[in-house]
Amino acid sequence: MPAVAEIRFTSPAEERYQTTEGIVTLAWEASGNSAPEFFELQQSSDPSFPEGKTRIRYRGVDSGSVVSGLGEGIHHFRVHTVEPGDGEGKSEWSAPVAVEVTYMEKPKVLLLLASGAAVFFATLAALIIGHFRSFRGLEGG
Amino acid sequence: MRESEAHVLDPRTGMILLVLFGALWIALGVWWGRRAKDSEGFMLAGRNVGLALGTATAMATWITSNTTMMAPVFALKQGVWGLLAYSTASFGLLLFAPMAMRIHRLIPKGFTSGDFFRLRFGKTAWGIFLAISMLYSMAWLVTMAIAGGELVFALSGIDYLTGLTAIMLVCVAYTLFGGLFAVIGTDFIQSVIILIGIVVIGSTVLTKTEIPEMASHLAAEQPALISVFMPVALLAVFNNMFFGFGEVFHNNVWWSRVFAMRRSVAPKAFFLAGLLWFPIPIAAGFIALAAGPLGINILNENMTGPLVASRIMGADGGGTVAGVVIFVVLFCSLASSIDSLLAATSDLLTRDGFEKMLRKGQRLPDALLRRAGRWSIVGVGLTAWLLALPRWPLQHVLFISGPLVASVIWPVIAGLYWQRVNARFIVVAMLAGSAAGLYAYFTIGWFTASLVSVFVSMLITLAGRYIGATTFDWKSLTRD
Repeated sequence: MPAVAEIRFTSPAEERYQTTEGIVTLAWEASGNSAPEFFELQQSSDPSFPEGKTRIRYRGVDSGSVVSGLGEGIHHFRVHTVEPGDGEGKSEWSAPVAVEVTYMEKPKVLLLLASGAAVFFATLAALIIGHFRSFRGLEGG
Repeated sequence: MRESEAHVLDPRTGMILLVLFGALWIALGVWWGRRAKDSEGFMLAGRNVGLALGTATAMATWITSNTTMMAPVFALKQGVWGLLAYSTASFGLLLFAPMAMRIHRLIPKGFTSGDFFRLRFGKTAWGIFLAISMLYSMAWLVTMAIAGGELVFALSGIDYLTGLTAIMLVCVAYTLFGGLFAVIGTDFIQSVIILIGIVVIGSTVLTKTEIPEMASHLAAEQPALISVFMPVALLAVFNNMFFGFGEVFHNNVWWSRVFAMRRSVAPKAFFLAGLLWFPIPIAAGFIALAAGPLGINILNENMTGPLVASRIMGADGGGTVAGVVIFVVLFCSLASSIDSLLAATSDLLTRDGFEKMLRKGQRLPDALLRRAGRWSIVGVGLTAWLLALPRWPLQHVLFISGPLVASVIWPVIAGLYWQRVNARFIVVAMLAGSAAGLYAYFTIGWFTASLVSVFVSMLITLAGRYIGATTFDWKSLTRD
């Protein structure tokens, strides 16, 4: 009987990964077993992964997954191998990885957005005014 | 990271497609190239391009592999705002329409954007402008080349070096033989293929998904993708828009098309191209939003588009057909941009570099100019191939060029529309805008760099309108 694989995350490198964009690329490897494995990746808002707060993020043969659309907060992930049929666990769970999503402060965002809007309308105005003045020969050329 | 997906095409099919399309494009290049009787014909397609070809070339050139590959990545990372952020790049084409009219009026016999900048603002500004333009153009070209090699491998298993070399050889060959005639002609065909392909892929995705189910899945599993307040995504809307403005307003890829089109055609062509381009990234990006609801696992964010498209289209047993469609669409989106960059960059090198800088503005024999043009196409293509070989993550260089090109937006507007402006302020605007944008890139994030750059550049350019402004003689543009 083949040995049950030991699982660990290879990406991200740190146990606590920080991002402002709500996306993380998870990768894992199974050691101790040369046969292809079936993996289950779980996500939870609680590091103890209680039933009501945990969801299955992925189940399949891939050894990685890009997880996007994460809201602000800390998201915990763990992975193990399972039986392909009934999903019964085969290996122990990997050491979990925590992904902390922190958005830019709101005042800063609003200031940058206001600046962007100002530049957009100023650019539009410069083009429209320039175009009509040019049409009327007011700037020459 | 082990992947479960096989390539959607086998190497043999991939090679057949490469050879067939390559041979066809080169043959078209030779055939169209006969129309170029002199260097002006070679560089500017006889200055007689009509509306259909003009619109198609503007649209096809702007649909790069970034559009078909990065739009899905934007959607995957930034959701609905990401789709809109990418689409704002079409505003650059829309706003360039009236500028095209002005360019034709001011400098009807112009050759390059560098010509205009040199005559309008002098040598210092011209030098900075050329440096920014060359860096951006080469970064764009090399990222296209790398994308070509990686896509050919991802789709068919053909090794990176072979795919990269094949795509670059084909594009250099037909651009060399046919000049802008070949570039515009193939753009027309490519734009039709791309539009059909995007419609086929997009509509196939729509048949597999229900929008309400997609929305509820995203709300439960990927809530940030449909969130109204997602800072990076919101800021990316403006950042991408200004990056697009800077790219279109300054680059010789677009100015050469203005000079190539008939005067009455240029504004309409750019406007139509902008309208037609707007939904393309939305359609391409939409398929990335369908990945989660359809249970498609993404392993590599950069391959989101081709992966989801091939999975969905291949689900009904049409795997090879799906692979061929995706391969052809991506080949066309790559080739339509690579050829334009080769042609426009070689024009800048020939006209601005060789004729104006090295030969100090001497009137050179047409045969010499044509030879210089051809050698520069080969040189630019070879340089891009060499830089693409190590597969450096040059998309970062392309993103870094965002604040550089954004710093040129207001100098170009001032140059075209203001008779009075201080040229020294234009120089400072470009330098300070670039510096501020680069600072923002490394300290805040990529999604603010172009925005900060254009903001700083705008303030300095506006100051130059009122402080030490000198009157420019527009007629001097046509005396050169």
